[in-house]
Amino acid sequence: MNRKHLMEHQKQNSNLSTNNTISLNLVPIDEVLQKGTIFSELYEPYKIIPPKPIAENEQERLLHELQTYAIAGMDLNLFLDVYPDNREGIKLFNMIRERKNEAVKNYEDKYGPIQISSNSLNGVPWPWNMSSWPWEDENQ
Amino acid sequence: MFRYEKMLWYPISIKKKDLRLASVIKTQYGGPYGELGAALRYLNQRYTMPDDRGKALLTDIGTEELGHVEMVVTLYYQLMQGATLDELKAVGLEKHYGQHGMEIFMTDAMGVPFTVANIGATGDPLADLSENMGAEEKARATYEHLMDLTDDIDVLGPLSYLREREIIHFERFKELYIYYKNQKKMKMKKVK
Repeated sequence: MNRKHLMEHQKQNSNLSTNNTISLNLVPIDEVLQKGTIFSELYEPYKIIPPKPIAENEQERLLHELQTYAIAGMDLNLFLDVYPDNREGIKLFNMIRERKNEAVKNYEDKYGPIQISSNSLNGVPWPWNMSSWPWEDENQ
Repeated sequence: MFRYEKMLWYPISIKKKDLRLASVIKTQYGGPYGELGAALRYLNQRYTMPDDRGKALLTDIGTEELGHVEMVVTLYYQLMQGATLDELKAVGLEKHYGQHGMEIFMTDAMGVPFTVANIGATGDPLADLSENMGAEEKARATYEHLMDLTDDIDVLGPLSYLREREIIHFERFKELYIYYKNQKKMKMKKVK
């Protein structure tokens, strides 16, 4: 399922009441990174509209996509911890989970391992050391 | 067990050095309302949560906070990147340099070392969760103060993100608190 389909799914299902009575009002997937949440009613910015992270190259674009799905997944994970019977949330979590796994693979195939379980670790020299560390900014 | 993912929660790419701001942002690493304290508080409390909701939520938020620790430290190092000794002295960081060189240390903005002495661990889910709600609000307020101190958009983005996560965590702790509170009320009725 591509990003467009996911956004359509979200549109169709926003404001949908479930048998658990919690309805999910969702932030569009391409705004999740900027807003820091997938739950629109919990998005409460301070002073400024948060800046939208801008990818300056392909590596950053793939990383932002991965971060988007990681945040959306985390948000639904915490929600489901408290509302374990919410079917809509579980369905959405699993859709996001698949997208995140794809995004991890897309990134790792080109730019090296994110996870220590990555297929990209089968190489010499040890690929885990070769990619930059998250706190180091290559643009600096 | 825990496993590392070699990425940040949110992209950080700071172009403008700001030593003074770095030394203040450090409080969200080793300060009283910081991410390290949050991670340890929740990961310590999870063992005595009364059911799977609590054990899951405390585990997952505690784990997320470890990634926020990494974000705060990233902000610090990128704001300090390329600092000269003269620049350090100009903002009063020679004491830090004398003790720690260019390495970050777990203190608040005033230099008080990180302490777990005041972390709530009561064994009572209602007491622990209400402390956590307070902790999230205090961290949110701190991020707002930090946002007041800069107009660098490269710093405001990550600070906005971290602040938003405090709002989410507060909400989930509150919901779990209300759920446990209602359960307790129902039990009390039976006793009466």
